[in-house]
Amino acid sequence: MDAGTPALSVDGLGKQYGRQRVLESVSFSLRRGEVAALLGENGAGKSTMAKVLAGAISPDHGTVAVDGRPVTFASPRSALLQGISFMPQELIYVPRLTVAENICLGRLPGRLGSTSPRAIRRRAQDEAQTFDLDLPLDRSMDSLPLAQQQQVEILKALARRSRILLLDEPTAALSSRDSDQLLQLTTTLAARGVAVLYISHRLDEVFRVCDTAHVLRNGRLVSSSPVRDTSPREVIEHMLGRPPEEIDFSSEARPQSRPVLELTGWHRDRIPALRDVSLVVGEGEIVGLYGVRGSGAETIAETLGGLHADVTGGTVVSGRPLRHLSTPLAAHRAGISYVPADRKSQGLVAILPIVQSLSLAVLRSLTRLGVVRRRREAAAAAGLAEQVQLRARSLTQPVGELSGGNQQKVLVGSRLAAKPKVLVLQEPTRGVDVGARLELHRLLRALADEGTGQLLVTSDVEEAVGLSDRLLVVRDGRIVHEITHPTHASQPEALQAAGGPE
Amino acid sequence: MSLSTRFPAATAAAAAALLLLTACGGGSSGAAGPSGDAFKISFANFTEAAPLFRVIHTNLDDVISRGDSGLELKWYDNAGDAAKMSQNAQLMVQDQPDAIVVYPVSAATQGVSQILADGRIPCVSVNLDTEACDFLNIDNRALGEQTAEIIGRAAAERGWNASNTTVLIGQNAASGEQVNDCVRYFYSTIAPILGLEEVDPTTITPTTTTIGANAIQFEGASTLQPSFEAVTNLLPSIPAGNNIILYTVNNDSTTGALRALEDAGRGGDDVLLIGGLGGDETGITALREDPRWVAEGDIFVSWWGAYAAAMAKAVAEGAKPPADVTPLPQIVLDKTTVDEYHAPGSAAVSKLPPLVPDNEFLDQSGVLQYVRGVAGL
Amino acid sequence: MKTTTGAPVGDPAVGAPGAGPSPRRRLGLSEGALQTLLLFGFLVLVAAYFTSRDPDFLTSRNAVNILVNASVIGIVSLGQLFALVSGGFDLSVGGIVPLGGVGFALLVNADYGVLPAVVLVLAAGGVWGVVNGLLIAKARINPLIATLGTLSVTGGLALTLADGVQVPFVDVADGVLTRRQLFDVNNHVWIFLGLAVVVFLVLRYTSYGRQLYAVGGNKQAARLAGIRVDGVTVIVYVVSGALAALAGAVLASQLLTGSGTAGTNSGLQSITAVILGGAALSGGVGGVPGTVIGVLILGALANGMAILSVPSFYQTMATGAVLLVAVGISQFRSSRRAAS
Repeated sequence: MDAGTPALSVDGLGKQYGRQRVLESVSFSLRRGEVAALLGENGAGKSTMAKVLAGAISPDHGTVAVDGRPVTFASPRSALLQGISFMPQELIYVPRLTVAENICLGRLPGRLGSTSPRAIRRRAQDEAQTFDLDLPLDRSMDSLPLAQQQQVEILKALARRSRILLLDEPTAALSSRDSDQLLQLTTTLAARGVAVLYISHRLDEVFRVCDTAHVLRNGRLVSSSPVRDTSPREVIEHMLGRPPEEIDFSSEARPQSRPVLELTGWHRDRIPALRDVSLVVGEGEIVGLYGVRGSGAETIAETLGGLHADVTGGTVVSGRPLRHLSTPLAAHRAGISYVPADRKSQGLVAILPIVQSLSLAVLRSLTRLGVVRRRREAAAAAGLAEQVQLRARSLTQPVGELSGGNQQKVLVGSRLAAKPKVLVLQEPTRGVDVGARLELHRLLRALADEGTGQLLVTSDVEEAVGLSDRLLVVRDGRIVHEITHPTHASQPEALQAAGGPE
Repeated sequence: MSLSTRFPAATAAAAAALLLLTACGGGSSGAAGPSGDAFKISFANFTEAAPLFRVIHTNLDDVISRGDSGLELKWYDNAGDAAKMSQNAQLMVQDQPDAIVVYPVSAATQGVSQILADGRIPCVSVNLDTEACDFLNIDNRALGEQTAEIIGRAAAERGWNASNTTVLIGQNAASGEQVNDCVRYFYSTIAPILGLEEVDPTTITPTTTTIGANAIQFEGASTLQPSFEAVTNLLPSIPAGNNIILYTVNNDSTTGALRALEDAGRGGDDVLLIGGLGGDETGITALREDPRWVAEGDIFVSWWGAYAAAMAKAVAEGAKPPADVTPLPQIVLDKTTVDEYHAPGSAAVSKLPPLVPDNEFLDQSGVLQYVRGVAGL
Repeated sequence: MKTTTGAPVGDPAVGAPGAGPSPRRRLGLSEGALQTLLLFGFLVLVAAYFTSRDPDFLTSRNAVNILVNASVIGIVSLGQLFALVSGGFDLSVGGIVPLGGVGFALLVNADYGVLPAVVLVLAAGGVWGVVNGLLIAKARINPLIATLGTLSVTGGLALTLADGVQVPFVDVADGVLTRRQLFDVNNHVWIFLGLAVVVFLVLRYTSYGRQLYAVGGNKQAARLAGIRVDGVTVIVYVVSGALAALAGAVLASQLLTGSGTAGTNSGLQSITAVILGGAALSGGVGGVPGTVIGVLILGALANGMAILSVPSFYQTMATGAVLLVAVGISQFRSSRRAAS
């Protein structure tokens, strides 16, 4: 095979749903050993592109060629046979099978339908050694942390001799340390000749590992350039279609305010453990809580949401000590609104209309004799939708139809409905596009200015330093560091304190 | 008694019933004689959930408790379920009794027959034939024909004929061909009497729904609710103003159909004639009191257990039953003969039809003597 | 501190999901309403077909015939709807219906009077509902297994209470629940229609109804929104159990007999009707209009086929085929929606 032939080339690809053009004559190519980023805001066509390449949907126009040979994918299986592997954001694996079995799934060793656990393990071991991966082959897949599950999935793809790997936002839910490992793996694979198409929101990662950046906007490919010839600012400009504005979220030096949330001596023995955690959130203050996965930061947020009954310690909301915080209902009653990290599985009921989603947490106050007062509800929902700058066709649309950013706005709005004394946010902008992320940050800042105290629990260091008035760093269940007025320049300090890379 | 005190009583009764249920679950032993030299019979009843079949069990227990019959019964419940029945057959063979009586579920007869044949224990099959066993049964065809003659006469007296009559027959396809002979031959017998279209009874099959212009066959599954629903649904097919003649495979099915006709206002005394089948309390009471109910095929089901046990013992002791079928007692009663066989004012059997040559051998086993409290034997 | 990004507020390109305007959007209909309308169209089609084959089908008299049969399973289905919307289902109704029937017959024969008997039967059904609800919500037993267990227990209890025999009403006047009175339509048909209206209002306009859909749609999210998921779930099975017991009383009145074997199929029948009416086993979806139409479709099919003299074997097959086709179409539509 000629070294100059691209591993993957896409020519004039188009896809249309109804009258909406999701992809319009997109052309690009991918060399062997190249890591290319596919960038764009939500709805720009990235996922559609990935689905076409993975064989999940077929394009209306255009051709896809692998190693110079034009191919048509009838199904995900035929894409696999052509050497293309797709790793979606939400991994698809068999939870109760072992790691080794998952790696060999679909092409088990042995013949005539017979196989043995030992043969499976041996093959998985060979594959892992080939790529220098150290994986617990005998543990069941669902007992692994996400980062290792991803490694298994990548190894599964490589074991199938895939030459082209599609990664859809693989680091969205990873801690920075795990992200680094994954990026490292990506580079290793490229060095071995695998072509990688990397779909991401995180520009810092793109500029660290990618060779090329392709930017999609409204279904068209608007720029393709080697990363060394461009800058994050330029890429953002392409993504948005206009120059970005400089936004300053710094809060003016805030006078010492009345505390709305005080935690004293929080302790938990089960993993992730907490050790003597005490903190104070003042009225109108955004306190950031930064830590890598497993540090205990997320446990603090979840406990405030009423999800862990086994944490001991004192909790005071607006001067009133709480006796217990063992159920979500108790948290609500205490005046704490909790925005969970995973809006799909924990936050929203996808099939409910926006109005009902916004009112769900405050139904009681909108009810007389058990009957919901619909006019009041609609008015309240309209007010909230405006406050969070929701963009939707109508408020009767099911939330599941909205983009990730707008879903997140509905989730935050539903928690604001209760007029909470304190708002606890866990990963409020995870998986949200650049524009919506900015709007959410702006919204949270405005809320703080109106006096709502907020505890922002995040593993996104940029968010942590950009939004917090005061940043606490959590490591191994303790608050190990405090940065009083974090700035962009505080990032290394926070990372180091959290135990991340220096 | 006030409501508030009644409810706990009802709950307590329910709880007690539940306890009772758990206490006697499984294959329960009936009244037993001295167990050492007793003649052991394993008896698998069709189901214990329907009254029609349950009396077979209770009455036999009652018969052998009257004296030293020398019988020891062990009961199994086929629960109307083929799989359950097959399982029971295995359990019974495993238990090695002196004889086996089985009231089979039609779908399982082949497989069960094999199990019983392999077990080499004398066995009697009641109502539905099992190849490996001797067969004890009523004559469904004769019941249908005799009932048709009584109803045909009553209908003809009222001037019912092809221009103003619909015959409604209710089958139970799942119970097999023999059982449905009664409704089949009922029609073929009544048709010439009333001048309805005559058909060969063998052409009336489970998928037959209309027979000529004057008859409809519905699927009643031998139970109340399906019969009610089936008849309710086919009401529009019965021409308005027509007289109706109702006959089904059993009185549950007839009762369900009757409720549907009454509910639709088509159950008047002068427009409906009913032939019952079963000789149970429903049928006997109705035959005495209901002007529409003019015949009742009395098959003395409550005594089947005694006849079957007698036959099982006789066969085990070497008697040779008829090759095809040993007849059970049966007679079709009308309003004048009902009190001959049932004590007036009660549904209890006061007399059984005499044994006939084909079943005289049953008397030798010494079991039927306990039935002799009832006249006729 | 500075964050470098841009956010064009109100940019129509951002977050504008979905495809161009679909027919339902032009009509301003919700997806659920459209589905109900389609289902209603199907019912009309079924009725039109049977009428074209036999005009006897489309008479007010025959409409009552259909309702007489459909209302019993309809009452059960209204309760089953709660269970399916909550993301579970209730198989135990197949035992509670006969239990209610036998219990009702025993009570009226003991001269309790029809109304107190109905109240007691409802309470007994509700108690079994509490058992189901606690097994599912508190003991975290899968609804299939929990209600399968109580199905056997209640079914066996019904047979035990009846002592294996049937319990005929001593006084036929106690069959008042199914007598034809108002407009010569049976009372239980009115009971069913009245309950349908009540359940419709409860599901649509009360906070309980809202909470139920939220719990069925995403239990975890509902819990985090401060909803008492366990309480909502227990009420689901109480309603289902009470309505099943009521249906048993109605059935017994219809047959003038309490029977331990009458209504044992009502579990699968009611699930069929509710699913046909647009509910999903995954929960959060379904409503009263769909359920009522689902019940009527099944009733109309049985009735129409009886009028057309279709043998009962084929009737059973046709019912299954209709369910598969209806659910297949709805699945196809929703997967197409998900793809676009």
